[in-house]
Amino acid sequence: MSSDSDVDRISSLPKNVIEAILMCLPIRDAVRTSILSSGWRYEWSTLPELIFLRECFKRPECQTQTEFDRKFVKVVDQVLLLHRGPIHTFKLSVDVESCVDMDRWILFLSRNGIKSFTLDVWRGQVYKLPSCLLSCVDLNYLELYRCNFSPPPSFKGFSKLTVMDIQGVNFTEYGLRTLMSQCPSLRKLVVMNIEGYTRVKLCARELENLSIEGKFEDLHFKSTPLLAVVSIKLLNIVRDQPVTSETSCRIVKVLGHLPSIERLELLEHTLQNLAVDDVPVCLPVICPVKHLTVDINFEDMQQMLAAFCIFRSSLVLQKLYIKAISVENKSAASADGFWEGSGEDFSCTFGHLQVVEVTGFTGIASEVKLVGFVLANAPVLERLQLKFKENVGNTDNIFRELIRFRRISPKAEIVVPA
Amino acid sequence: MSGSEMAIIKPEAMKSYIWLECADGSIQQVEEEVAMFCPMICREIVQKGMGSSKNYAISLPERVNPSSLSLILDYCRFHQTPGRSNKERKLFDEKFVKTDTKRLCELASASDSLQLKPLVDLTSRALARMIEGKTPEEIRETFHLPDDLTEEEKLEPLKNTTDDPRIRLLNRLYAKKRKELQERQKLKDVEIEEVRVDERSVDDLLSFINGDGDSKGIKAAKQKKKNRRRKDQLKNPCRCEDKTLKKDVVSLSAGYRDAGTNFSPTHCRTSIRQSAEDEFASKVEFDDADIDDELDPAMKEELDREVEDFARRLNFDWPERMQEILSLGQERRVVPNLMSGNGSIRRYSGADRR
Repeated sequence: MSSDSDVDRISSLPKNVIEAILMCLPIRDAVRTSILSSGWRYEWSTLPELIFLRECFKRPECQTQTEFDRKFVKVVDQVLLLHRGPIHTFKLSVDVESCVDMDRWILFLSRNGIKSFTLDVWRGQVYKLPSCLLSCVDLNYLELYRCNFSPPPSFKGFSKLTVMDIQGVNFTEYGLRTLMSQCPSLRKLVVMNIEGYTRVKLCARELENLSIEGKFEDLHFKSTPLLAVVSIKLLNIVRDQPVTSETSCRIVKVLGHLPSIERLELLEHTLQNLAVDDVPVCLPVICPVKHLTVDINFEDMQQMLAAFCIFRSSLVLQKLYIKAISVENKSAASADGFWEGSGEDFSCTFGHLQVVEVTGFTGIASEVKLVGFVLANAPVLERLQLKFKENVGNTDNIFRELIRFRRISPKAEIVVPA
Repeated sequence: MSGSEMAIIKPEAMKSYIWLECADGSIQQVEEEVAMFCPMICREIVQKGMGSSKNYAISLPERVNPSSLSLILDYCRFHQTPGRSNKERKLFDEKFVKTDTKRLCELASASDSLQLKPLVDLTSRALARMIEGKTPEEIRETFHLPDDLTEEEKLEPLKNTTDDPRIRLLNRLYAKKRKELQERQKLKDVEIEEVRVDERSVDDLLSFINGDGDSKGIKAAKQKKKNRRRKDQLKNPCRCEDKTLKKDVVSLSAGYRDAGTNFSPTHCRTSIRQSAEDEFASKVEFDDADIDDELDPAMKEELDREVEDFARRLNFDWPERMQEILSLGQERRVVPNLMSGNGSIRRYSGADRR
């Protein structure tokens, strides 16, 4: 090797390459490059991303939580103090217990052009977000875990926010409403563990991806023309509501306004809640969903009606994933009456259905009849998979019935994983 | 292939070729679709119509040397072929960066000037992998970096995840140091004393980190005690290499570690500080070999004990000291430094929290 192999090449790389290198390093190593040589002294200090993750900041056994907190606070303080230039990304996801210093850091970030902010409060008390966060006008990514978000009435939403992931966050009514309807650039929204809100009204013109989980009474897609992927998981059982003055029933309110939907998940008690009112035979508009995941209680008449309402309206359904759930709901009308009547009454053809998967299969009459119905009405079906629930006793009878079913699709396979 | 051959064959070739010229004058030919993978070349072809013949070869930026260019073209050729699976691409990439640092740096530089972002990312990641988790010495060796920082400068804040009180103290001092240095740049009219203190504190660490070698323990403490007594003289705030002088500063401000504030010591405070130093300084030990958190256990223990002792003493002396500082603070009105009014108080409250 010639002597030019001993040349320092890395320090003379173009600035954005050095930045790319430093950004691949965990923050600890990135900051430590400052002691390598004079050329590297301040390279790290203009990094636009500051990411503090649990993996890199583990509390050793011998250290108390307080000491760890204190040390971590000092580390972040130093990094922020030595940093120059804008900070576009800040992630804090470390096991610290006290959050009093975060106010100061968020204030600093709000003055430095923060665009992506992630804060996970893993332990300790829920953290009340300071109002200076609301003045981060450039914010386009917000991820929160276990915080309190109570904006004042002067808060008018984040105009540039495109992705919001808030879990375990307590809102005021006003806060939630503003986030859901006054963030015009929102493209992806994840809201988990929300509680105590009666009405969730979503008004987001650019929204494409929604995932909502928690306890609420009412969900309304007011204006979500681009929404393509939706996952709804209702954890509470809605009691029978008196008929409201609203013209459309629940299922229409939720599913009737999703013109761009492609993947839809209705988990846990969602279908039950949608089925509370009088369920129509068919939705007023065609639902263009291609992948549908739904948890159904096969013994609940209303839910069966609602499920078929959706099936009838989903003319381009390709993949269907059903999970059979059973709930202690004595008020549910038995579904026995649902299957009476001949196949034609159902007027439901699964014209594009290729894959069906049923999990939690217990082999009760209603479930078996649905399988039979699908086999008889899905002309391009390729695969029907049944996963039995644990502890289902004698499955022989069930298999006997399944074998008998007529299959309209020549390619259809029934698969029962071991 | 020579130019004349190309002139004959080219019309019959299925592919069209682009001519590229490196900064050193060598000219190369490459299939157009491969070259188009690089945004910069693509632009030259599309917007300026260059590259269609030898005379109009696209001049590549200086940082693209012929060997890098051929590697880059290999990369482009592989990736622009449509049928490849992700796994194949990943394997290729992994093999592609299994090379020496010289080549990686050249590739990174060249692909950056050709605006080939995927390759920039790939090479950057490979270089980052060579840096991650290594000690500074190892990194310097791998990349032939000059070890040209002064000892003072090496005491940059450390990401200390071990429970080492020494390094904790060190970090606090660093933070303070940095802040002072930055403020100094802003406040040009700051009293010189303040600046002097900056340097000194850094030097203190300096001496412990490197110079004193084995005598990291008691000897260093004694040394500090000695230095402490010297009277400070105002000095030019440049970073001078005179270690002895700096030792003064260090001993004086060694005690400031806790507060992390900027404060302007003045003559009348010197004495107070100096007495404060007694406790502080004697307890502070620094060891630069432990930048990588590998501490000699015995040393560590000793330092732990000293630090604890120190803490106790601080807490004990706190009320009296507070009185002194407060009374002194009121006399001094002239300090332009913003922090001065609070500096002393904060310093002690920091210590108090210990």
